[in-house]
Amino acid sequence: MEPFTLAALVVGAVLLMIVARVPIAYALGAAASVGLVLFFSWRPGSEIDLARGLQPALKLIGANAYSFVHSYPLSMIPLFIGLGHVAFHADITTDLYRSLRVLLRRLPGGLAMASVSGCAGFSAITGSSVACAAAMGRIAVPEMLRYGYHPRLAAGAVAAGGTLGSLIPPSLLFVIYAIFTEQSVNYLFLAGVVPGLLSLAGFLLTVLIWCALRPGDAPRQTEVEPGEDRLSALKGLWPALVLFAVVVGGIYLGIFTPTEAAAVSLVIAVLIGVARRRLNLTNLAEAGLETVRQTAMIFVIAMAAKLFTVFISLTRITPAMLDWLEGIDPSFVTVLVAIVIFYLVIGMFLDSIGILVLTLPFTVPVMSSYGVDLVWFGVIVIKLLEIGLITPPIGLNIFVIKGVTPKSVTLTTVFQGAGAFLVLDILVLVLLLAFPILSLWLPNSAF
Amino acid sequence: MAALVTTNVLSRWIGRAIVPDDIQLVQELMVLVILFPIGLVTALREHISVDLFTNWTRARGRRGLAVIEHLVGIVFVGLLTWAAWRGVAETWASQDYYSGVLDIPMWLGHSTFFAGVCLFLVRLLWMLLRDLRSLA
Repeated sequence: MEPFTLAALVVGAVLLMIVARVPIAYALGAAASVGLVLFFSWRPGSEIDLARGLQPALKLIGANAYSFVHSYPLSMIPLFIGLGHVAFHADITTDLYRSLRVLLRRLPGGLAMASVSGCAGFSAITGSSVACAAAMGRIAVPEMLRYGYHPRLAAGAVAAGGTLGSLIPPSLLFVIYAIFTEQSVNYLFLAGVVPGLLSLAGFLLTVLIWCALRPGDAPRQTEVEPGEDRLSALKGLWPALVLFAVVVGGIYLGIFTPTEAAAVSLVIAVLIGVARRRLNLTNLAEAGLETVRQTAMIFVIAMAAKLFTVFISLTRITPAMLDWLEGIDPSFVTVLVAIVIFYLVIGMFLDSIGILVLTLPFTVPVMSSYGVDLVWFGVIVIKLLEIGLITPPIGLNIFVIKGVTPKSVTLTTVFQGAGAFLVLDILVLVLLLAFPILSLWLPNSAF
Repeated sequence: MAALVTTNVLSRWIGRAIVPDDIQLVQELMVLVILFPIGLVTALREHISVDLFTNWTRARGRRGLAVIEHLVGIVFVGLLTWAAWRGVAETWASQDYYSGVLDIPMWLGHSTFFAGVCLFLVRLLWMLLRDLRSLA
């Protein structure tokens, strides 16, 4: 069997298993491991000899899986996940939302704006879109409904705002992208700042336009509740600002590596939580348990994807694909548009991490062959995945919001609400595609 | 892990890092943090999967799919366990270690890794048996 045929069969088997609801980690890991055994068992002109293939395959599987887990730079993943959970249990994220709610209440759609901005702030701490949507969905949607906001606007704002976690640093997706493309995490984190803020601006503008067109959907909040003055509101902002400054400022100024920034900010979050008497041993343990569960879930999939990448590179399917592409010689714009459409479509069906690990072995070599800056491409891919989080029929954030909001908020309502936010999000995507400097300016100015 | 890294960052600012071999220690801890909770994630069926195409199936069909899921998982984790065992055997035989103040032996991390994937495999086998029994 030719390596190319073997690779095609393995990729086909992975897709088939994923459709049959086999966890992505198992599908990738089993297909890659068996593929590696078969790859080494086969010699041109002879029969397949499994005994011959098993030893080198096991060596590769063991070495790659172990080195992936036994890694210092990757320790930033559990540390950032831990930071998110501790910040949530220490009420740092809740206080951030409450403060923004008070500060923005006089603006049209002030609560929705506070929710979107709160999501951005939450994301800047947790790095996870889904965690952000889940947490903010519980806090912000009922609050907006209580003040008479239309369920479409309430749910849509949080679903869309939740996606900001993918772009605003620290983003777990950027870390995973960096691992699989061998790019600098520092660079990627800083490259996500401006696109993240642009996306935030797009969402805020959407709220403004929505309120201008349908003022009844977002009644102005006129009465001031006790303890809701601006001074107390400002007090609720500092813990989140400190954490953001440590992560982004520390990396930008070269004080910390991303791993150190993750560790230091996690310790600071714990200290803030304990000092404010919001964190005790029980919820600290809860945060720890949630952290290790999420970490294990991400690592098992990434470890399997690593094996898949090794198998794919051994079979040399990507150089063959590039040769084929060279043969038809499409323009860069055609390829870029094809890749954008591909990610938009696949983003509707698959989970973000799954998409990243499945597609990067194929799309990155194509982009590299055109001399594309892989940091910029990373921003584009993550932005596309972000859009996929609120696009039907899957849109993971939509289901998360539906799961944590009152029954009166239907799935269709959430989709309709998020749909309105998609319009300007697509515009931001076009801007990022047309002007790579938007993504590259900040990292280039720092390093 | 966070405390270890932070201690070293702070002590580095003051003078010099006080925790020896911090990078190796974090690496060893990573194996623990990642591998040991995998059994729990598996038991809670929290591994990321796509159920869009199988939502229409009935309860029995879903149990059948779960059996396939475990079988595929066992193939992956079975080979991984075998590979991990070889890692333990090789590093134990060579007695290699990470050169540093603590001279941490390499078999330590490999053994932890092996123990973790063994637990993962046992959990998968147990879940396979349970789902097969519910199918019967």
